[in-house]
Formats: sequence, C-alpha cells, structure tokens
Amino acid sequence: MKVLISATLKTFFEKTSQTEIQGNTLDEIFKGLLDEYPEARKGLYDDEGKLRKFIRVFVDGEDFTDIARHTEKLDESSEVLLLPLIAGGKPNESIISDERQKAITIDEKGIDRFNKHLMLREISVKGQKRIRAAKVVVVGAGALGSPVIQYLAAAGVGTIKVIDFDKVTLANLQSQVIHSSRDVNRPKVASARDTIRNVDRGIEVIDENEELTAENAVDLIDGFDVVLDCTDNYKTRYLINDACVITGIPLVFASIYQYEGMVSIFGYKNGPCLRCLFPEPPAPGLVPTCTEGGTISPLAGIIGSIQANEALKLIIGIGEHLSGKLLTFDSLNLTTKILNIDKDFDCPVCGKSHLIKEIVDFDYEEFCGLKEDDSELPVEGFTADEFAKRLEDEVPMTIIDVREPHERAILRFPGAIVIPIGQLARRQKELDSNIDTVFICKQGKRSILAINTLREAGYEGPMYNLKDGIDGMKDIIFSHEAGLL
Amino acid sequence: MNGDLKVRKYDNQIVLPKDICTQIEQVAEKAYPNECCGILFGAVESDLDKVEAIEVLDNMSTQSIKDSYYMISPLELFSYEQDYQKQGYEILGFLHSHPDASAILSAADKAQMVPELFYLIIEVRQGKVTSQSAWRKNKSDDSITEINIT
Repeated sequence: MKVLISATLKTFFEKTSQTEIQGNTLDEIFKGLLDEYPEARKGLYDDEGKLRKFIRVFVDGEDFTDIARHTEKLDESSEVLLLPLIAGGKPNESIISDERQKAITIDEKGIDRFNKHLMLREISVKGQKRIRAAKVVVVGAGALGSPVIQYLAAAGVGTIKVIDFDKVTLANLQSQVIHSSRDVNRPKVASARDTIRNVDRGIEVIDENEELTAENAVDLIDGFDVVLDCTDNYKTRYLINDACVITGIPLVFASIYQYEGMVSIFGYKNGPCLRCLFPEPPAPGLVPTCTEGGTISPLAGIIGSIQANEALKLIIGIGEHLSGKLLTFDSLNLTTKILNIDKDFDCPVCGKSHLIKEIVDFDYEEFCGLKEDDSELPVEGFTADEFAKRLEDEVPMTIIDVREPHERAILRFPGAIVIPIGQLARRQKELDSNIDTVFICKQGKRSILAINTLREAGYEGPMYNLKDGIDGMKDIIFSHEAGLL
Repeated sequence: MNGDLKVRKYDNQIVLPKDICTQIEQVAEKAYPNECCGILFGAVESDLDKVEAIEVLDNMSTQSIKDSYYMISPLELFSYEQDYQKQGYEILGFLHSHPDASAILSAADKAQMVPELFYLIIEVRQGKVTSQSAWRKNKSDDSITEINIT
C-alpha cells in the first residue's frame, strides 16, 4: 500500500516522503513501516506505545488516527497519509499584575525559605513575588480548609483571609488537621490563624469569625485575587459562586463526600461557573453533607492540596488548570477523571442575561429548598419526647427508616422498616394505612421529603415525621437504652 | 546578503527577513484577539534556516477557544507542503500568536511540538505586536531549545 509521509516528519523516516508497505490494516502497515525505518518508532510513539499527540493518520482523506480503526481492513488501492497536527495555545497569565509583582522584594531569609520554589524555572523569583503579592480568601476552616490554608501559608501567600463561624469540636479532629485537641471549643478561625502564624509571621492573616451571607459575601471577598471554597453546604457554595462571578474573582471550588472528591475553577476569565455545571442544588436532605455522610480522613488532604495547587498556579500563571474542567477523584478505587464543563450561555449569573446582578436580591434559602414551602401541606411530627412516649406506651405504628446503610450502621433503630426514599412510592403497600406511620432519618429533613413523596404518590394513611431525627433522640435512646434498644 | 551567510543550518538560529517580519506582524495584529497560525517556508537548496515565504492558515480551533488555542488542519498543511515543494520550498516551521500573553511556549504548545521544526511565537498586546520568540524540540531527547531570531 502506498504510504505518503509529510516532509515535516521526514526526520524520522530517513527523509523518505513516499514508500510502499505490505499490509491490509493500519496495524500491519505500521509494523512494516517500523521494520523498514526502526528510527521512526521514537518519532511516532510515546513511552507508553501510543501514537504521539502530534501524529495524524489519514486513509484516502479520512482521519484514521483513532486506534480503534487500525484493525479495519483497507482497500488494496488505499493511500495512507502520515501528517503532523500542528496546534497549541497561549500560556496562562498570572492573576497578579506585573506592577504588584515588581513591588515585592524578597530578602535573604526569603531566598532561603522559598529556595525550592526559586529552583523551579516556571516559578523562580517572579513567581515567588507573585505569591507574596497575592491576597486569598479561604471560606471554611474545616476539612478542606485545613490543607488549603496550611499549604498557601507554607508557599508564602502574602494575605490570607479565613472565614468560618464555627467552633472546633472533637469530631472535627478526624479530618481537620489544622486544629488540635487543645483547640476544641475555640473558633476555627482562631486556631487557623495560630497555625499560619507558626509557619510564617510575615503573612497577613485576616480572620472573620462570622457566617458568609448574601448580605456580606461581596464585601468579604472584594479586593481579593482568588477565593477558595472549602465549605460543606450548597447554600454557601452557590452564594460564593455568585459573589465571585459578580466581583470577577476566580473561584477554586472543591468538595468531598465519603471517599470521593472533586475540584474545579469557576468564573475564571469568563469561564463556566458552578451554576453552569449544576444549575440547581439537589433536593435538601437527598444528598447528605460531609457531616452526615462521613468522609475518610486523608481525602480532604488530597483534594484540598489539589485545590491549593490550582490556586497557586493561577497566582503564578503556570500550567494547565481546571477552568472549564472538573476533576473527580475516587480514593477507594484510585480513579481520577477530568470532565469538560461547558459554559451555559443561559446561566443566570455568568450567562448573557445576567439575571442575578446582586446577590442580596436572590433567595438562597428558597433556591436550596431550605424554606418551609407554604403551598405544601404542613407535615405533622412528633418531638423526640412524644415519640419516646408512644414507643413506651406501645402505640401501634409503623416506623420507616429512610437513612442510608452507613448511617444505620452507626445506630440501628429497633423495629423500623428500612425503605430508601427512591423506593417509597413503589413499596407503599408495605405501610398499613389504618395505623400511624412515623418516618425517621438523621436530622428530620429527609423524612419530610419522604412524607411529601408518598403524598404525591397517593398514599392517604396518617404520616408523621420524627422532628430533629435520630440526632434529636440520641439522649433518650442512650438513657433509656434498656427499654428502647 | 549582509551577515546571513555566517548562519548555518542547526546553529540554533532562524533568519527572518524584514519584509517577512512585517508580514507576520500584520497577520498577528489582524487576527487579534484570536490566535493566528501559519507555515514558515524556506528554500530546499539553502544552507540557511531562512524564512523565504509564509502561508497564513485558518485557525481550526472551536470558535469559543480561538483566542487561546490554534490548530492547523493536517490535510490543508499537506496540500500547501506539496504546492510549495514544486517551487523548491520546504517547511521550516510554524508561526502562531499569543494574544495578550507572553511569547513563551505554553504546556499545550510543548505537548504538540513536532521535533526539529521551528515554532515562532508572536506576542500581541492590545492589538499590537510586542515581542517574538522561536523554539525547537530536539529529536534525540525531546528537549526544547530557544532559537535566536536574526
């Protein structure tokens, strides 16, 4: 078969531009070609034996580069073309201006401290000055915030603002490595500030011990170069996303759940935002937060470190980053994927319509389904005490547990029937409409969703919600242990 | 011929005559804010890596990313290669612009470089050419060398 080789690749083929190779498929032809020109192997294939990125193979004008086509039987009179794909793109520019970079000086101590950055050609003195000039906001000093804050501080970021309204609890210490047992009951921002100070006193730390809200979000991030979302709830995530798009500040987003995590960059140079990827949050209670769903200890370290690395790349202006892409990581099976995110031109925040111009005008509570819906019938419920009394009095009732298997593993509720929300409508026959049915979950929110789901499915028996869920009953369960469990 | 004769092939230099330079600048500025791309041709018989002609090609990247990426159709490239060959020219390398970005190789540029060819990068800031650079990937070890433009 006739093989034509572009002169741009001739250096691999002893300057041959045309040759005749025996074979019926591209696989056979490549084999013959390499027998004749052994030098070409290095030119055509990478170390893993795949065709190199710049090689394109055409058969009679049709692109046959895809390896799936290399076993296709070709016509005797076909003509194979080996061509280069000439392509590229411009490098990423730093989000820190040259003026700000030039205004920074690095003293002798700094040269010593940041020696390993200065050794890297892509970072060097200019990059380190950019890092020092950078002003960064970290929202959330929890699991993700821990590695993020520590690595940004170690890298030498000049100004770090930490926003968190919460206090350190014992349960936090399993994954929030910025806090220690001495910090329990202290505000998270206080222990985060101490950690940063211990690393580098030259860093300006701004600690905001308050909740980020629609009213203060823009003010809290205005004037900063990049925001890192290390929060664990949808309302704050959308709030941060919208505030970043409105102020034009790039956002490095990350989230973790059980064994999996994801990272992306939103609103960078008009790129897609969180709403382009997820136009709306899942129904409340449907997806448990990290607190409810649990997470393996080092996961936040892995994902948060990637998040900090992405922020540093934006600051230095190097490498490929996750704007327009979503990186997902599964720590259980060690799989990583990078998915493309398209910008949604109808996006209410970053699209053409700019429907949301001011975030104070947007109802995040309602958007995230956190508001009581007046149009829906109110759900009747029992408090923990009322429910305990009914159990003690042995009032006939069906108890439905809608929690996830891992939640039930921690605390099984005796005598309860387990039905996941998704199966409720189908399995409503298992309920006795002549007696009361009580729905239980962890915090009393998913159980409301369960009741509404069954109502919609036409179930007419009496239904009650256990207010505040199993969490609200813990004290009673443990004190009445003999009677209840 | 001024100093041109001193420059030999593989001396890590590429010769860009003034008229070609002007032509390239115009192309890059016209394409702004998008990336332009094209082929650099030299004479087959020459001892010099001297650009004798350029051919500007369509940027085949998706419309929305034309301001940050470029791509040349392999088939279009091949047809120009054959046309120019008949007139005694060969492909020396390629040119592309970096709108509002430095004239250095990006990660995408490096990954896609064909060894032993020149890559000329034109930096365009706010519609004006401000700088240029040239690079070549070495066949033996894929290392990249910056090339002097004379």
